[in-house]
Amino acid sequence: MSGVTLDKIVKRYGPTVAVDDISLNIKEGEFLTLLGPSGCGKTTTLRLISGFIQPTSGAIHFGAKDVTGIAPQHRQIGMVFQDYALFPHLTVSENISFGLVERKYEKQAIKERVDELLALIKLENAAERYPSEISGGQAQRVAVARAVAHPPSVLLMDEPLGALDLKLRETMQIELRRIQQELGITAVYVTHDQSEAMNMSDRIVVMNSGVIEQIGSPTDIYTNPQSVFVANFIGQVNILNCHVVKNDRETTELNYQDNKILTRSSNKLKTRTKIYLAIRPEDIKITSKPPTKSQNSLKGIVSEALFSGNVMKISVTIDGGDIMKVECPPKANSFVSGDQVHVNWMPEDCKILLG
Amino acid sequence: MENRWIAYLIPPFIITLLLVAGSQFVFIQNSFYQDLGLGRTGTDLTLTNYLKFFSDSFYLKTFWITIKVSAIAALLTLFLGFPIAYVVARMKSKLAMFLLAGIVVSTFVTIVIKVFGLIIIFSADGLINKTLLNLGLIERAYSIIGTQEGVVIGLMHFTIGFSVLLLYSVVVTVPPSLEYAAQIHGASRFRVYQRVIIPLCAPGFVVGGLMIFNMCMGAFTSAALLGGGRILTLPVLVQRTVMMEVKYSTAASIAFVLLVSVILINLFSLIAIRRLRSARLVVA
Repeated sequence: MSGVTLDKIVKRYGPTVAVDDISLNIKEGEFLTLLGPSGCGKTTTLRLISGFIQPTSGAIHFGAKDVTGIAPQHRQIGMVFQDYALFPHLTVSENISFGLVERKYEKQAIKERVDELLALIKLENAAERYPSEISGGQAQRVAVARAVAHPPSVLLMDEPLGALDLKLRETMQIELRRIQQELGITAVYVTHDQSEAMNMSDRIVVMNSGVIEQIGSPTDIYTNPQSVFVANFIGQVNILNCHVVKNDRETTELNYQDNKILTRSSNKLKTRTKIYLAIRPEDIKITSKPPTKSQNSLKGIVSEALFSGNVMKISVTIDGGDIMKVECPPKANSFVSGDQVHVNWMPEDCKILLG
Repeated sequence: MENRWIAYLIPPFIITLLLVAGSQFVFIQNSFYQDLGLGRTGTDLTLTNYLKFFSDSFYLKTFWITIKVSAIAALLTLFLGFPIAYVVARMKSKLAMFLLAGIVVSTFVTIVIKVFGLIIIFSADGLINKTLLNLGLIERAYSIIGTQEGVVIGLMHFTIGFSVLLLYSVVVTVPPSLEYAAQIHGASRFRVYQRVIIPLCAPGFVVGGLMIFNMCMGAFTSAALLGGGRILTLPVLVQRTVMMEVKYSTAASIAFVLLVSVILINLFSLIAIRRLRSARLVVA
């Protein structure tokens, strides 16, 4: 087991750059998720770590060992595939022992390890079944057991839950996380599903068109996005185009279509700089009367109000023409479309983004 | 609605039945009457023709050669066809489609033209002999015509396209991710073939092998042209007996032996495979 270091990795396919100068340090025992839309380079990055493809330039280290150029079978990795890739002609236990047989373990050691893993994935009763005779969730657990049987330096997972239905996916998120924690394995997980990434990861790497947009813990990425892309990709966000009016030590004053908006001073921005202001829908409150002075407030008309169980999703067309999404508890808010309202939020709940 | 459409199928069915099954029936029926030569037959039902076939060493030898060259050709064709099929099946570019189309087209070129091509490159002053002579690997030109090897080459030439197409359709059913999984969990390329690809393709090898074997058993043109009258296989023998010796019932008995033996060989092979499969020695 070891950490993984990517050092200035570039992968080109002809004129297209799939991965553009990525450097990344994955700590030992960490659960790291590569998150991004399709085509962002996350799968290419995973395949580079696996050794199926080689970087155009840059180096990959597992711990202190340089593995650049080493074939996948010599990298000591485990991998879980989106379609499970279980061998249909082998039983569950034969699938799990595949890597152990290939690495010439003793017969007795193989048997002990397989039993141990069957217990870990709670499939003791299915040992002699064939992959066609077990369910999707069970198949996924077998795939994980196979991947970790010969303790890998790093466990790679390529959208392993993509083929499962929502309920099962949530159970499996917890299950995968538990297995990873129990074994203390370094894991790199690829997904385009932000909630999956939030639920499971120690750290998330948000990728977009071949570059890393931001690296951070789930909380950090959600509450402190560094770009409009990250803010939009992780959860819902309202973006207002503003410019800076005045900047003092405590607060920055912004102008949004001649409305004054206050936010916490974070950057030394010159006046008239154009910025994007990000506000999460759940940080906004709706009132029919103007709020107290300390809050930011915009006037608007409710254009849509959707009740979705635990939350009320309200869209407000503000006077400037932008639409603001608001999420609030359903009981306290009985607005219907056409209502004249004020949308209000605290200065500390909005964030200046530069791009 | 459905019944009305089925009615339209009855006339073609009857015509097919008369032309195919009917003619076969008359031909085979002939084999149970004594052959009086020149197309005449006796009047009493008898097994004379069959007794003659199984007691005459000439017929038995021909029978054995037919099975032998067909089996060898089928095996070699599978070995030769698999790598091609594998490479084409794993190609990501559009080239794969062109190659497949090329194989299909060349498969349907008349066998006579293909065999003449073979005869030309294998002839005494043909490409292969000249190259081998110049390299000093052989001392005098070697002819494949009239040898068993020649017939095997002819049969392989005839069936290779089918074998590639057949095996291609088998290989594409094995997801590449299984190969990645095997490789990533420590298997070398060789072990990937040994533990994953070959076992998963095994049913395809069996079925494909039998199909090619059947084609070889019934192949006439390539066997006739490359056998050169010295190597006889059953289909060639049937043609000679009908066309040159005008012994219809004898020919019919030979044809029937060929037909029944092919059916039996297929049946036994499939039963054997099923036995193995239930013992989980072969996958399906």
